[in-house]
Amino acid sequence: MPYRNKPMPVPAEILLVEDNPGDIRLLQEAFKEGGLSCRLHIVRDGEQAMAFLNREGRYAKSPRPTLVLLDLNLPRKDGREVLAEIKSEKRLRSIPVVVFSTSTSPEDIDGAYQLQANCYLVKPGDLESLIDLSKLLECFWLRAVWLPL
Amino acid sequence: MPHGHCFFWRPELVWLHAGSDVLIAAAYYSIPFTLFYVARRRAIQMRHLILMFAAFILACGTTHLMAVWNLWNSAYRLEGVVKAITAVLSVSTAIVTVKLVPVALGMPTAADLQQVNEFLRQEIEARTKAEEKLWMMVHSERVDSEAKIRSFFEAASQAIIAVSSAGKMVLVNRATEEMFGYDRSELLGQDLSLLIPERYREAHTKHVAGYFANPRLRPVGGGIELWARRKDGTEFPVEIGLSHVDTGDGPLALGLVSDITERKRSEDQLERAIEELRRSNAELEQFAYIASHDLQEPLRMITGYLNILQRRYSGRLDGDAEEFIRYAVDGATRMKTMIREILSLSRVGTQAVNRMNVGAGEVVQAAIDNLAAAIEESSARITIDPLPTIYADPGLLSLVFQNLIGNAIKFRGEKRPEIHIEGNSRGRECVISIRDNGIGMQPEHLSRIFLMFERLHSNEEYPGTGVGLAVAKKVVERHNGRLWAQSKPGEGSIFFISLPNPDLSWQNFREM
Repeated sequence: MPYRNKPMPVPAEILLVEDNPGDIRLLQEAFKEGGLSCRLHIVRDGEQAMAFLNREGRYAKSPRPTLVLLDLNLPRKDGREVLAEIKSEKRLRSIPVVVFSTSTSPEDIDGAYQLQANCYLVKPGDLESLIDLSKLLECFWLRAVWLPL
Repeated sequence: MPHGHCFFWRPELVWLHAGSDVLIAAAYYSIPFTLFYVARRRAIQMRHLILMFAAFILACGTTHLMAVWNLWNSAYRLEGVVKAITAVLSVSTAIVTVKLVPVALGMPTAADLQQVNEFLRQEIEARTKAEEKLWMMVHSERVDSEAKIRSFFEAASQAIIAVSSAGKMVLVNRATEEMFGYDRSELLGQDLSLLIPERYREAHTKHVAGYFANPRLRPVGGGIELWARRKDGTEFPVEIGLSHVDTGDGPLALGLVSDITERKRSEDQLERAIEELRRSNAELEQFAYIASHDLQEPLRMITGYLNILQRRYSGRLDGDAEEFIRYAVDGATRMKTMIREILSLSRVGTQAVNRMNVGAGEVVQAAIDNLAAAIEESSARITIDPLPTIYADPGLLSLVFQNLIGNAIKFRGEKRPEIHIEGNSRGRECVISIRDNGIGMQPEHLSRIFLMFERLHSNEEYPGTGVGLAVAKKVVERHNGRLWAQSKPGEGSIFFISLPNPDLSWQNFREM
């Protein structure tokens, strides 16, 4: 084919890597309130994240995520390690990784980009802002951006 | 006929004349020789006169000889000629003698000379006596002043050591003896390195040689710090002031030695105190940073879920419940802002201040650009006089201006805000002022406002957390400057920033 048509947006599969249940539920509510159509897959630490991506064990049937929302501070395997691993594996590194963290420190921000995070978001404090951010996320990453197949 | 004929050749007459004439001639001949002898021996003036006399006397003698000759002969013509020559000579001599009378009279006689001699002798004696007296005076004065100088030297509280160009100690004072624990007899003639710990001796000898090669005044205070060694082997730190003296016996280096053990101890203590303070400051700021960072997560939970309650259950809760939730959300939101500002304050404390020469005008303009929205919304009019160059971190300082100008706009009264900024540099400091026509403040509040979280108004009257001025003050203080205010309630306020000027600011002072 001479060129590809942008595919019709299908419900995207987003992998959320987050250990705080409060934050998880908040994001779910924000997606709901914001009317986002994507499906959230949730893992609670770095090891589970890699298992999901590599379709190991109970994640054998899991889909390849369209986007990864990654918190940095995770138990067992730290978010930075997950980021480094994803971006070093040929099969996984084309998946956009959006770092979703509480930290505003320049070290964390620079470090994430050094490890080739696609972008860095800071968790907002209130629901309204979270809803806006979620809509923005969908608008940009899942509608405007052309993603790899 | 011979003249003897006149005497009838009576033998007694002939021999009387002949004998007398011969004797006279002999005498007349001997005298010139004597005169020549004297004249030659003594370079007498009037030599030519003496020669004339000699010639005249010789001629006279010759006439008498002729007379003897003509007793038996009749060479009367020759006798006549000789007489004529003698006449000429005697007349000339007489004339010259007369001419020389005044000179002769002027010449000192032996008595004159003796008198002069005596006079001179007395003079010399008097002068010699005076010289002796003078010398004794000078000598005793010198002895006095030497004694005086020596007593100063000995009384000096600092150790003074004079060192020859060979590095040997030639002069020490009592303070030196006391400082090092040696008697001076043990020091004089010894090498200066006796007073220095062994490990530094080699370098020291080189320094001494270097100093003599190129002597420069090294005053105490700007001087050299060394380790010194007492007789008992203990070591202590000293500071040395050096100077150079040229004496009759060659160049000397004069060293003033101060024991700086106390000073070093104080310096060390100060150093340690500063280090301790710095460390504790860093800890505090890190604590503030971590605390405020970690507090954000629970706050997010509170705010987020209260928001969900508001949205999900709006309309399904009674008015009271909704009001309660609203107060809760409000409180949480304010807490979030406070935490954010504590974080920024703690960052101001820890991060580096990168100072440079920058136009204050530029910094103010950057702040104004950031306040564009507020300025437009309030139709504020800002006038800026030409501002001097300041030595500051432009990023940090623009925060200060942003806060101050922002306040000037925020705390406006009924009138349209008019803000005037001016500044000048005066000697050691540079002062910039921001004047507004806002609501002003009571004088008793003028220092409170700079405290953390202090507010003069409720949040409903004027929004804010009360951290802005605390941050501004901290920034200005980190620049070694001052921030203060003047105000008239109802008329407006003026905020002043003073910053030290670079050449005279203590750039070497360790920043805490």
